[in-house]
Amino acid sequence: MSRPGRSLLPALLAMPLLLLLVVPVAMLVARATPDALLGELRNRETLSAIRVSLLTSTVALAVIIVLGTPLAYWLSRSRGRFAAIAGTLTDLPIVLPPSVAGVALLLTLGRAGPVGGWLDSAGVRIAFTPAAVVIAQVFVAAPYFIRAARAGFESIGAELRESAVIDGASAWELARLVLVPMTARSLGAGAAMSWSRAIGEFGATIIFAGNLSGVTQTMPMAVYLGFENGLERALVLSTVLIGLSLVLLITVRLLGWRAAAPAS
Amino acid sequence: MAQRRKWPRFIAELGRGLLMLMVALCSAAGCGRAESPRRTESIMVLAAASLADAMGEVGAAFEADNPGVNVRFSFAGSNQLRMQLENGSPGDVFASADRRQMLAAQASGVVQPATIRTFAGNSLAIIVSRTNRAGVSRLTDLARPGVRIVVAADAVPAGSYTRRMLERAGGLAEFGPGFVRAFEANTVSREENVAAVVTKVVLDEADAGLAYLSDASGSRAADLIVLPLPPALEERAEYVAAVTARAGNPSRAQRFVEFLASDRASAILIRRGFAAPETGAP
Repeated sequence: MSRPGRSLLPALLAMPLLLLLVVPVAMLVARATPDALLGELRNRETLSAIRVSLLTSTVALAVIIVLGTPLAYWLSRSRGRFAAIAGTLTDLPIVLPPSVAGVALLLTLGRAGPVGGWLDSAGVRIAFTPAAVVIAQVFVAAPYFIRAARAGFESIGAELRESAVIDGASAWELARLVLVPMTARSLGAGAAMSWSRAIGEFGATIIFAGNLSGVTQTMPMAVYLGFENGLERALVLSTVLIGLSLVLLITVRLLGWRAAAPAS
Repeated sequence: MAQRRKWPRFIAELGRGLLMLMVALCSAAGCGRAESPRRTESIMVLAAASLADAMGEVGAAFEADNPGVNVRFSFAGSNQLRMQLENGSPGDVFASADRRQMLAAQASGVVQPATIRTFAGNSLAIIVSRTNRAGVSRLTDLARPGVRIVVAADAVPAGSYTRRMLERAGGLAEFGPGFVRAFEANTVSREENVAAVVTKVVLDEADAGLAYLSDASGSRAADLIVLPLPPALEERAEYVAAVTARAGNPSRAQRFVEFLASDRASAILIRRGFAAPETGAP
Protein backbone atom coordinates (compact mmCIF):
# COMPACT_ATOMS: atom_id res chain seq x y z
CA MET A 1 0.00 0.00 0.00
CA SER A 2 1.73 3.13 -1.15
CA ARG A 3 0.99 6.56 0.24
CA PRO A 4 2.53 9.02 -2.19
CA GLY A 5 1.50 12.00 -0.06
CA ARG A 6 3.57 10.75 2.78
CA SER A 7 6.68 9.83 0.91
CA LEU A 8 6.83 12.80 -1.45
CA LEU A 9 6.32 15.66 0.96
CA PRO A 10 9.40 15.06 3.10
CA ALA A 11 11.48 14.63 -0.03
CA LEU A 12 10.18 17.93 -1.40
CA LEU A 13 10.82 19.71 1.87
CA ALA A 14 14.32 18.27 1.92
CA MET A 15 15.25 19.79 -1.42
CA PRO A 16 15.82 23.51 -0.66
CA LEU A 17 18.39 22.92 2.05
CA LEU A 18 19.99 20.06 0.17
CA LEU A 19 20.42 22.32 -2.86
CA LEU A 20 21.82 25.11 -0.71
CA LEU A 21 24.40 22.73 0.75
CA VAL A 22 25.41 21.13 -2.52
CA VAL A 23 25.09 23.69 -5.32
CA PRO A 24 27.65 26.30 -4.13
CA VAL A 25 30.29 23.62 -3.69
CA ALA A 26 29.52 22.19 -7.12
CA MET A 27 29.73 25.68 -8.67
CA LEU A 28 33.12 26.26 -7.10
CA VAL A 29 34.51 23.00 -8.41
CA ALA A 30 32.93 23.63 -11.83
CA ARG A 31 34.70 27.00 -12.08
CA ALA A 32 38.14 25.50 -11.55
CA THR A 33 39.39 24.40 -14.96
CA PRO A 34 42.08 21.70 -15.13
CA ASP A 35 44.43 24.21 -16.81
CA ALA A 36 44.05 26.70 -13.99
CA LEU A 37 44.49 23.90 -11.49
CA LEU A 38 47.75 22.74 -13.00
CA GLY A 39 49.02 26.28 -13.52
CA GLU A 40 48.29 27.33 -9.96
CA LEU A 41 49.74 24.14 -8.57
CA ARG A 42 53.10 25.33 -9.89
CA ASN A 43 52.77 28.65 -8.08
CA ARG A 44 55.09 28.94 -5.09
CA GLU A 45 52.60 30.63 -2.78
CA THR A 46 49.89 28.12 -3.57
CA LEU A 47 52.26 25.26 -2.90
CA SER A 48 53.49 26.73 0.35
CA ALA A 49 49.91 27.19 1.55
CA ILE A 50 49.24 23.52 0.82
CA ARG A 51 52.49 22.52 2.53
CA VAL A 52 51.82 24.65 5.63
CA SER A 53 48.27 23.29 5.87
CA LEU A 54 49.27 19.65 5.56
CA LEU A 55 52.21 19.96 7.96
CA THR A 56 50.41 21.88 10.67
CA SER A 57 47.22 19.83 10.53
CA THR A 58 49.18 16.57 10.69
CA VAL A 59 51.11 17.73 13.73
CA ALA A 60 47.85 18.97 15.24
CA LEU A 61 46.25 15.59 14.63
CA ALA A 62 49.18 13.79 16.30
CA VAL A 63 48.87 16.06 19.33
CA ILE A 64 45.11 15.50 19.45
CA ILE A 65 45.46 11.71 19.34
CA VAL A 66 48.31 11.50 21.86
CA LEU A 67 46.73 13.88 24.38
CA GLY A 68 43.09 13.35 23.48
CA THR A 69 42.98 9.58 23.95
CA PRO A 70 43.84 9.63 27.67
CA LEU A 71 41.49 12.57 28.20
CA ALA A 72 38.65 10.77 26.43
CA TYR A 73 39.34 7.60 28.42
CA TRP A 74 39.33 9.50 31.69
CA LEU A 75 36.07 11.22 30.74
CA SER A 76 34.48 7.88 29.85
CA ARG A 77 35.43 6.33 33.21
CA SER A 78 34.89 9.20 35.62
CA ARG A 79 31.50 9.77 37.15
CA GLY A 80 32.27 12.76 39.36
CA ARG A 81 30.92 16.25 38.97
CA PHE A 82 34.35 17.55 38.00
CA ALA A 83 34.52 15.11 35.09
CA ALA A 84 31.01 16.08 34.01
CA ILE A 85 32.01 19.74 33.92
CA ALA A 86 35.25 18.90 32.13
CA GLY A 87 33.30 16.86 29.58
CA THR A 88 31.07 19.82 28.79
CA LEU A 89 33.99 22.21 28.59
CA THR A 90 35.82 20.00 26.10
CA ASP A 91 32.82 20.35 23.80
CA LEU A 92 32.84 24.12 24.04
CA PRO A 93 35.21 24.81 21.10
CA ILE A 94 32.68 23.11 18.77
CA VAL A 95 30.13 25.85 19.36
CA LEU A 96 32.56 28.71 20.04
CA PRO A 97 33.08 31.07 17.08
CA PRO A 98 36.66 30.59 15.84
CA SER A 99 37.31 34.32 16.19
CA VAL A 100 36.57 34.02 19.91
CA ALA A 101 38.98 31.09 20.09
CA GLY A 102 41.64 33.19 18.34
CA VAL A 103 41.30 36.13 20.72
CA ALA A 104 41.31 33.77 23.73
CA LEU A 105 44.46 32.06 22.51
CA LEU A 106 46.19 35.34 21.75
CA LEU A 107 45.36 36.75 25.17
CA THR A 108 46.68 33.61 26.87
CA LEU A 109 49.61 32.52 24.74
CA GLY A 110 50.53 35.85 23.17
CA ARG A 111 53.60 37.39 24.75
CA ALA A 112 51.47 39.96 26.57
CA GLY A 113 49.43 37.11 28.11
CA PRO A 114 50.24 35.26 31.34
CA VAL A 115 51.43 31.98 29.82
CA GLY A 116 52.83 33.50 26.65
CA GLY A 117 54.69 36.16 28.62
CA TRP A 118 56.39 33.53 30.72
CA LEU A 119 57.27 31.49 27.63
CA ASP A 120 58.53 34.60 25.88
CA SER A 121 60.90 35.40 28.72
CA ALA A 122 62.17 31.84 28.38
CA GLY A 123 62.81 32.54 24.72
CA VAL A 124 59.84 30.59 23.38
CA ARG A 125 57.85 32.52 20.84
CA ILE A 126 54.43 31.22 19.84
CA ALA A 127 52.31 33.94 18.22
CA PHE A 128 53.06 34.36 14.49
CA THR A 129 54.77 30.94 14.25
CA PRO A 130 53.58 27.61 12.82
CA ALA A 131 53.26 26.48 16.46
CA ALA A 132 50.45 29.01 16.85
CA VAL A 133 48.74 27.53 13.78
CA VAL A 134 49.00 24.05 15.32
CA ILE A 135 47.67 25.24 18.69
CA ALA A 136 44.70 26.97 17.05
CA GLN A 137 43.94 23.80 15.11
CA VAL A 138 44.22 21.60 18.19
CA PHE A 139 41.90 23.94 20.06
CA VAL A 140 39.11 23.86 17.49
CA ALA A 141 39.52 20.28 16.26
CA ALA A 142 40.26 18.23 19.39
CA PRO A 143 36.64 18.06 20.62
CA TYR A 144 35.60 15.98 17.61
CA PHE A 145 38.19 13.33 18.38
CA ILE A 146 37.50 13.42 22.12
CA ARG A 147 33.78 12.90 21.56
CA ALA A 148 34.32 9.96 19.23
CA ALA A 149 36.95 8.33 21.41
CA ARG A 150 34.90 8.82 24.56
CA ALA A 151 31.83 7.24 22.98
CA GLY A 152 34.00 4.35 21.85
CA PHE A 153 35.43 3.78 25.33
CA GLU A 154 31.97 4.02 26.87
CA SER A 155 30.71 1.28 24.58
CA ILE A 156 33.10 -1.20 26.19
CA GLY A 157 31.37 -2.94 29.06
CA ALA A 158 32.84 -2.81 32.53
CA GLU A 159 32.77 -6.66 32.72
CA LEU A 160 35.11 -6.92 29.78
CA ARG A 161 37.66 -4.58 31.32
CA GLU A 162 37.36 -6.25 34.70
CA SER A 163 37.77 -9.73 33.30
CA ALA A 164 40.86 -8.59 31.42
CA VAL A 165 42.28 -7.23 34.64
CA ILE A 166 41.36 -10.44 36.52
CA ASP A 167 43.15 -12.39 33.80
CA GLY A 168 46.23 -10.46 34.81
CA ALA A 169 46.38 -7.76 32.14
CA SER A 170 48.44 -4.72 33.05
CA ALA A 171 47.10 -1.24 32.32
CA TRP A 172 49.27 -1.11 29.20
CA GLU A 173 48.08 -4.53 28.05
CA LEU A 174 44.49 -3.55 28.72
CA ALA A 175 44.91 -0.50 26.53
CA ARG A 176 46.87 -2.26 23.80
CA LEU A 177 44.94 -5.54 23.61
CA VAL A 178 41.41 -4.52 24.55
CA LEU A 179 40.62 -0.83 24.51
CA VAL A 180 42.39 0.35 21.37
CA PRO A 181 41.44 -2.60 19.12
CA MET A 182 37.81 -2.42 20.25
CA THR A 183 37.57 1.31 19.68
CA ALA A 184 39.78 1.55 16.61
CA ARG A 185 36.87 2.53 14.38
CA SER A 186 35.68 5.27 16.70
CA LEU A 187 39.20 6.57 17.12
CA GLY A 188 39.76 6.51 13.36
CA ALA A 189 36.49 8.27 12.60
CA GLY A 190 37.19 10.88 15.28
CA ALA A 191 40.70 11.41 13.96
CA ALA A 192 39.46 11.92 10.40
CA MET A 193 36.81 14.37 11.61
CA SER A 194 39.37 16.28 13.67
CA TRP A 195 41.84 16.37 10.82
CA SER A 196 39.31 17.82 8.39
CA ARG A 197 38.32 20.44 10.95
CA ALA A 198 42.00 21.29 11.52
CA ILE A 199 42.66 21.69 7.79
CA GLY A 200 39.64 23.95 7.45
CA GLU A 201 40.50 26.10 10.49
CA PHE A 202 40.76 29.77 9.64
CA GLY A 203 39.24 32.25 12.07
CA ALA A 204 41.32 31.45 15.12
CA THR A 205 44.47 31.06 13.08
CA ILE A 206 44.41 34.47 11.39
CA ILE A 207 43.98 36.18 14.76
CA PHE A 208 46.43 34.11 16.77
CA ALA A 209 49.03 33.12 14.19
CA GLY A 210 48.82 35.97 11.72
CA ASN A 211 49.40 35.51 8.02
CA LEU A 212 52.78 34.98 6.37
CA SER A 213 53.22 32.97 3.22
CA GLY A 214 55.34 29.87 3.79
CA VAL A 215 55.20 30.21 7.58
CA THR A 216 51.67 30.57 8.88
CA GLN A 217 49.55 31.01 5.76
CA THR A 218 47.32 27.95 5.47
CA MET A 219 45.07 27.04 2.55
CA PRO A 220 41.90 28.63 3.99
CA MET A 221 43.84 31.81 4.70
CA ALA A 222 45.26 31.92 1.18
CA VAL A 223 41.72 31.49 -0.15
CA TYR A 224 40.47 34.37 1.98
CA LEU A 225 43.34 36.76 1.34
CA GLY A 226 44.10 35.65 -2.18
CA PHE A 227 40.52 36.09 -3.30
CA GLU A 228 40.94 39.71 -4.27
CA ASN A 229 44.29 39.26 -6.01
CA GLY A 230 43.38 36.34 -8.12
CA LEU A 231 40.26 34.28 -8.07
CA GLU A 232 42.29 31.48 -9.66
CA ARG A 233 44.30 30.68 -6.57
CA ALA A 234 41.23 30.79 -4.36
CA LEU A 235 39.45 28.42 -6.73
CA VAL A 236 42.33 25.98 -6.91
CA LEU A 237 42.89 25.92 -3.17
CA SER A 238 39.16 25.61 -2.55
CA THR A 239 39.03 22.66 -4.90
CA VAL A 240 41.95 21.01 -3.13
CA LEU A 241 40.26 21.64 0.23
CA ILE A 242 36.96 20.24 -0.99
CA GLY A 243 38.71 17.15 -2.33
CA LEU A 244 40.55 16.57 0.93
CA SER A 245 37.42 17.15 2.99
CA LEU A 246 35.43 14.69 0.89
CA VAL A 247 38.09 12.01 1.28
CA LEU A 248 38.10 12.53 5.04
CA LEU A 249 34.30 12.54 5.28
CA ILE A 250 34.08 9.33 3.29
CA THR A 251 36.65 7.84 5.66
CA VAL A 252 34.50 8.91 8.58
CA ARG A 253 31.48 7.32 6.91
CA LEU A 254 33.27 4.05 6.27
CA LEU A 255 34.46 3.91 9.86
CA GLY A 256 30.95 4.56 11.13
CA TRP A 257 30.70 8.04 12.56
CA ARG A 258 27.63 6.91 14.52
CA ALA A 259 30.04 5.82 17.16
CA ALA A 260 30.70 9.46 17.82
CA ALA A 261 27.13 10.36 18.71
CA PRO A 262 27.00 12.29 21.96
CA ALA A 263 27.61 10.02 24.88
CA SER A 264 24.49 9.42 26.89
CA MET B 1 -4.33 7.16 10.93
CA ALA B 2 -2.75 9.38 13.49
CA GLN B 3 0.49 9.01 11.57
CA ARG B 4 -1.12 10.16 8.36
CA ARG B 5 -2.46 13.32 9.97
CA LYS B 6 0.87 14.30 11.37
CA TRP B 7 2.44 15.93 8.34
CA PRO B 8 -0.28 18.45 7.37
CA ARG B 9 -0.63 19.32 11.02
CA PHE B 10 3.08 19.80 11.38
CA ILE B 11 3.13 22.08 8.32
CA ALA B 12 0.23 24.10 9.68
CA GLU B 13 1.97 24.52 13.02
CA LEU B 14 5.23 25.41 11.32
CA GLY B 15 3.46 27.97 9.13
CA ARG B 16 1.74 29.52 12.11
CA GLY B 17 5.03 29.68 13.98
CA LEU B 18 6.83 31.32 11.07
CA LEU B 19 4.04 33.84 10.63
CA MET B 20 4.19 34.79 14.29
CA LEU B 21 7.96 35.08 14.08
CA MET B 22 7.64 37.37 11.07
CA VAL B 23 5.10 39.55 12.81
CA ALA B 24 7.35 39.76 15.84
CA LEU B 25 10.43 40.61 13.77
CA CYS B 26 8.48 43.09 11.71
CA SER B 27 7.22 45.01 14.69
CA ALA B 28 10.71 44.99 16.18
CA ALA B 29 12.27 46.26 12.96
CA GLY B 30 9.46 48.68 12.36
CA CYS B 31 8.04 47.38 9.06
CA GLY B 32 5.19 49.27 7.52
CA ARG B 33 5.68 52.37 9.59
CA ALA B 34 2.89 54.21 7.81
CA GLU B 35 2.33 56.06 11.05
CA SER B 36 5.71 57.76 11.16
CA PRO B 37 5.59 61.26 9.65
CA ARG B 38 8.91 60.95 7.82
CA ARG B 39 10.40 57.86 6.33
CA THR B 40 14.05 57.35 7.18
CA GLU B 41 16.26 56.96 4.17
CA SER B 42 19.59 55.31 4.57
CA ILE B 43 22.94 55.50 2.86
CA MET B 44 25.24 52.53 3.12
CA VAL B 45 28.89 53.58 3.01
CA LEU B 46 31.59 50.97 2.45
CA ALA B 47 34.66 52.63 3.95
CA ALA B 48 38.34 51.82 4.39
CA ALA B 49 39.22 50.35 7.80
CA SER B 50 41.47 53.31 8.62
CA LEU B 51 38.44 55.62 8.48
CA ALA B 52 36.56 53.72 11.18
CA ASP B 53 37.32 56.16 14.01
CA ALA B 54 36.53 59.32 12.08
CA MET B 55 33.59 58.35 9.89
CA GLY B 56 31.06 58.12 12.71
CA GLU B 57 31.41 61.83 13.33
CA VAL B 58 31.33 62.65 9.62
CA GLY B 59 28.16 60.58 9.25
CA ALA B 60 26.55 62.30 12.22
CA ALA B 61 27.32 65.73 10.76
CA PHE B 62 25.76 64.71 7.45
CA GLU B 63 22.68 63.36 9.23
CA ALA B 64 22.33 66.66 11.11
CA ASP B 65 22.30 68.51 7.77
CA ASN B 66 19.96 66.02 6.13
CA PRO B 67 17.11 65.16 8.47
CA GLY B 68 15.58 61.79 7.83
CA VAL B 69 18.74 60.37 6.31
CA ASN B 70 20.52 57.65 8.18
CA VAL B 71 24.17 56.92 7.28
CA ARG B 72 25.40 53.41 7.94
CA PHE B 73 28.97 52.17 7.57
CA SER B 74 30.71 48.94 6.80
CA PHE B 75 34.47 49.03 7.43
CA ALA B 76 37.03 46.64 5.98
CA GLY B 77 40.18 46.70 3.88
CA SER B 78 39.46 48.77 0.74
CA ASN B 79 40.42 45.77 -1.39
CA GLN B 80 37.84 43.63 0.41
CA LEU B 81 35.15 46.27 0.01
CA ARG B 82 35.92 46.59 -3.69
CA MET B 83 35.65 42.83 -4.02
CA GLN B 84 32.36 42.80 -2.11
CA LEU B 85 30.97 45.41 -4.50
CA GLU B 86 32.12 43.38 -7.48
CA ASN B 87 30.25 40.42 -6.08
CA GLY B 88 27.02 42.34 -5.75
CA SER B 89 27.17 43.50 -2.14
CA PRO B 90 24.81 46.40 -1.39
CA GLY B 91 26.38 49.79 -0.81
CA ASP B 92 25.76 53.33 -2.02
CA VAL B 93 29.18 54.91 -1.49
CA PHE B 94 32.66 53.39 -1.69
CA ALA B 95 35.41 55.21 0.24
CA SER B 96 38.81 53.71 -0.54
CA ALA B 97 42.15 54.36 1.17
CA ASP B 98 43.96 54.40 -2.14
CA ARG B 99 43.37 55.26 -5.75
CA ARG B 100 44.40 51.80 -6.91
CA GLN B 101 41.33 50.10 -5.43
CA MET B 102 39.09 52.86 -6.78
CA LEU B 103 40.55 52.42 -10.27
CA ALA B 104 40.02 48.68 -10.02
CA ALA B 105 36.42 49.30 -8.95
CA GLN B 106 36.02 51.66 -11.89
CA ALA B 107 37.48 49.09 -14.28
CA SER B 108 34.96 46.51 -13.16
CA GLY B 109 32.12 49.00 -13.47
CA VAL B 110 30.95 49.00 -9.85
CA VAL B 111 31.40 52.75 -9.25
CA GLN B 112 30.24 55.78 -11.24
CA PRO B 113 33.49 57.34 -12.58
CA ALA B 114 32.07 60.87 -12.81
CA THR B 115 31.42 60.90 -9.07
CA ILE B 116 34.97 60.08 -7.90
CA ARG B 117 36.30 62.63 -5.38
CA THR B 118 39.49 62.76 -3.35
CA PHE B 119 38.43 63.78 0.15
CA ALA B 120 41.36 63.28 2.52
CA GLY B 121 44.99 62.42 2.80
CA ASN B 122 47.06 60.47 5.28
CA SER B 123 50.61 59.24 5.58
CA LEU B 124 52.09 55.84 6.15
CA ALA B 125 53.67 55.78 9.61
CA ILE B 126 55.48 53.48 11.99
CA ILE B 127 53.37 52.49 14.97
CA VAL B 128 54.93 51.12 18.14
CA SER B 129 53.17 49.91 21.27
CA ARG B 130 53.43 52.06 24.41
CA THR B 131 55.72 49.58 26.13
CA ASN B 132 58.07 49.73 23.15
CA ARG B 133 60.10 46.78 24.34
CA ALA B 134 62.13 46.68 21.16
CA GLY B 135 63.13 50.34 21.63
CA VAL B 136 62.03 51.46 18.18
CA SER B 137 62.50 55.17 17.57
CA ARG B 138 63.14 55.37 13.84
CA LEU B 139 62.75 53.39 10.65
CA THR B 140 66.23 51.82 10.68
CA ASP B 141 65.44 50.27 14.08
CA LEU B 142 62.97 48.01 12.29
CA ALA B 143 65.88 46.25 10.59
CA ARG B 144 67.47 45.21 13.89
CA PRO B 145 67.42 41.44 14.38
CA GLY B 146 64.50 40.16 16.43
CA VAL B 147 62.16 43.11 15.99
CA ARG B 148 58.71 41.73 15.13
CA ILE B 149 56.97 43.76 12.46
CA VAL B 150 53.38 43.42 11.24
CA VAL B 151 52.30 45.01 8.00
CA ALA B 152 49.11 44.94 5.94
CA ALA B 153 48.82 42.40 3.10
CA ASP B 154 49.98 43.69 -0.29
CA ALA B 155 46.44 43.99 -1.64
CA VAL B 156 45.44 46.28 1.25
CA PRO B 157 46.16 50.00 0.65
CA ALA B 158 48.41 50.26 3.73
CA GLY B 159 50.24 47.18 2.47
CA SER B 160 50.73 48.59 -0.99
CA TYR B 161 52.02 51.88 0.48
CA THR B 162 54.41 49.82 2.62
CA ARG B 163 55.62 47.92 -0.43
CA ARG B 164 56.23 51.19 -2.31
CA MET B 165 58.07 52.70 0.65
CA LEU B 166 60.34 49.64 0.84
CA GLU B 167 61.04 49.77 -2.89
CA ARG B 168 62.15 53.39 -2.55
CA ALA B 169 64.17 52.64 0.58
CA GLY B 170 66.01 49.92 -1.34
CA GLY B 171 67.28 52.53 -3.75
CA LEU B 172 68.50 55.01 -1.14
CA ALA B 173 72.06 54.86 0.14
CA GLU B 174 70.87 55.50 3.67
CA PHE B 175 68.79 52.31 3.68
CA GLY B 176 69.55 50.09 0.70
CA PRO B 177 68.70 46.50 -0.16
CA GLY B 178 70.17 45.24 3.11
CA PHE B 179 67.64 47.25 5.10
CA VAL B 180 64.79 45.95 2.95
CA ARG B 181 65.93 42.33 3.39
CA ALA B 182 66.20 42.75 7.16
CA PHE B 183 62.78 44.43 7.28
CA GLU B 184 61.22 41.57 5.31
CA ALA B 185 62.91 39.00 7.53
CA ASN B 186 61.47 40.71 10.60
CA THR B 187 57.96 40.78 9.15
CA VAL B 188 55.95 38.21 11.10
CA SER B 189 52.52 38.77 9.57
CA ARG B 190 50.72 40.41 6.66
CA GLU B 191 47.32 41.31 8.08
CA GLU B 192 44.00 41.46 6.25
CA ASN B 193 43.48 45.16 6.95
CA VAL B 194 45.24 48.05 8.66
CA ALA B 195 43.01 47.85 11.74
CA ALA B 196 44.34 44.34 12.38
CA VAL B 197 47.91 45.71 12.17
CA VAL B 198 47.05 48.30 14.83
CA THR B 199 45.42 45.64 17.02
CA LYS B 200 48.49 43.39 16.94
CA VAL B 201 50.69 46.31 18.00
CA VAL B 202 48.27 47.59 20.66
CA LEU B 203 48.14 44.07 22.13
CA ASP B 204 51.94 44.18 22.20
CA GLU B 205 52.19 40.97 20.19
CA ALA B 206 54.20 42.79 17.57
CA ASP B 207 56.94 45.35 18.28
CA ALA B 208 56.01 47.64 15.44
CA GLY B 209 53.66 47.96 12.52
CA LEU B 210 53.18 50.07 9.44
CA ALA B 211 49.91 52.00 9.67
CA TYR B 212 48.93 55.65 9.38
CA LEU B 213 49.71 59.00 11.02
CA SER B 214 45.97 59.29 11.76
CA ASP B 215 46.38 56.44 14.25
CA ALA B 216 47.96 59.03 16.57
CA SER B 217 44.49 60.60 16.93
CA GLY B 218 42.38 57.46 16.74
CA SER B 219 40.51 55.61 19.47
CA ARG B 220 43.58 53.55 20.33
CA ALA B 221 46.06 56.42 20.31
CA ALA B 222 46.66 56.08 24.06
CA ASP B 223 48.24 52.68 23.52
CA LEU B 224 50.41 53.70 20.60
CA ILE B 225 53.48 55.68 19.69
CA VAL B 226 53.20 56.92 16.13
CA LEU B 227 56.42 57.79 14.34
CA PRO B 228 56.48 59.54 10.96
CA LEU B 229 58.61 58.07 8.21
CA PRO B 230 61.77 59.96 7.15
CA PRO B 231 60.83 62.74 4.70
CA ALA B 232 62.61 60.99 1.84
CA LEU B 233 60.35 57.99 2.27
CA GLU B 234 57.08 59.72 3.05
CA GLU B 235 54.23 57.77 1.53
CA ARG B 236 51.08 59.82 1.07
CA ALA B 237 47.79 58.01 1.25
CA GLU B 238 44.88 59.32 -0.75
CA TYR B 239 41.26 58.70 0.25
CA VAL B 240 38.89 58.55 -2.67
CA ALA B 241 35.12 58.18 -2.63
CA ALA B 242 32.55 57.50 -5.32
CA VAL B 243 28.90 56.62 -5.76
CA THR B 244 28.47 52.95 -6.56
CA ALA B 245 26.88 51.80 -9.81
CA ARG B 246 24.04 50.11 -7.94
CA ALA B 247 23.32 52.89 -5.45
CA GLY B 248 19.65 52.82 -4.44
CA ASN B 249 19.37 56.59 -4.66
CA PRO B 250 22.37 57.95 -6.61
CA SER B 251 21.64 61.63 -5.97
CA ARG B 252 21.50 61.08 -2.22
CA ALA B 253 24.71 59.07 -2.36
CA GLN B 254 26.23 61.83 -4.46
CA ARG B 255 25.30 64.34 -1.75
CA PHE B 256 27.24 62.29 0.75
CA VAL B 257 30.30 62.10 -1.51
CA GLU B 258 30.16 65.87 -2.00
CA PHE B 259 29.85 66.29 1.74
CA LEU B 260 32.97 64.15 2.27
CA ALA B 261 34.88 66.54 0.03
CA SER B 262 33.44 69.62 1.77
CA ASP B 263 35.31 71.86 4.19
CA ARG B 264 33.04 70.74 7.00
CA ALA B 265 33.91 67.05 6.65
CA SER B 266 37.50 67.98 5.98
CA ALA B 267 37.69 69.83 9.31
CA ILE B 268 36.44 66.74 11.14
CA LEU B 269 38.89 64.49 9.35
CA ILE B 270 41.80 66.85 9.97
CA ARG B 271 40.92 66.94 13.66
CA ARG B 272 41.07 63.13 13.53
CA GLY B 273 44.60 63.16 12.21
CA PHE B 274 43.96 63.02 8.50
CA ALA B 275 45.40 65.49 6.03
CA ALA B 276 43.50 67.79 3.72
CA PRO B 277 43.14 66.35 0.22
CA GLU B 278 46.03 67.40 -1.96
CA THR B 279 45.14 70.45 -4.00
CA GLY B 280 44.84 69.79 -7.68
CA ALA B 281 43.54 66.29 -7.14
CA PRO B 282 40.19 65.66 -8.84
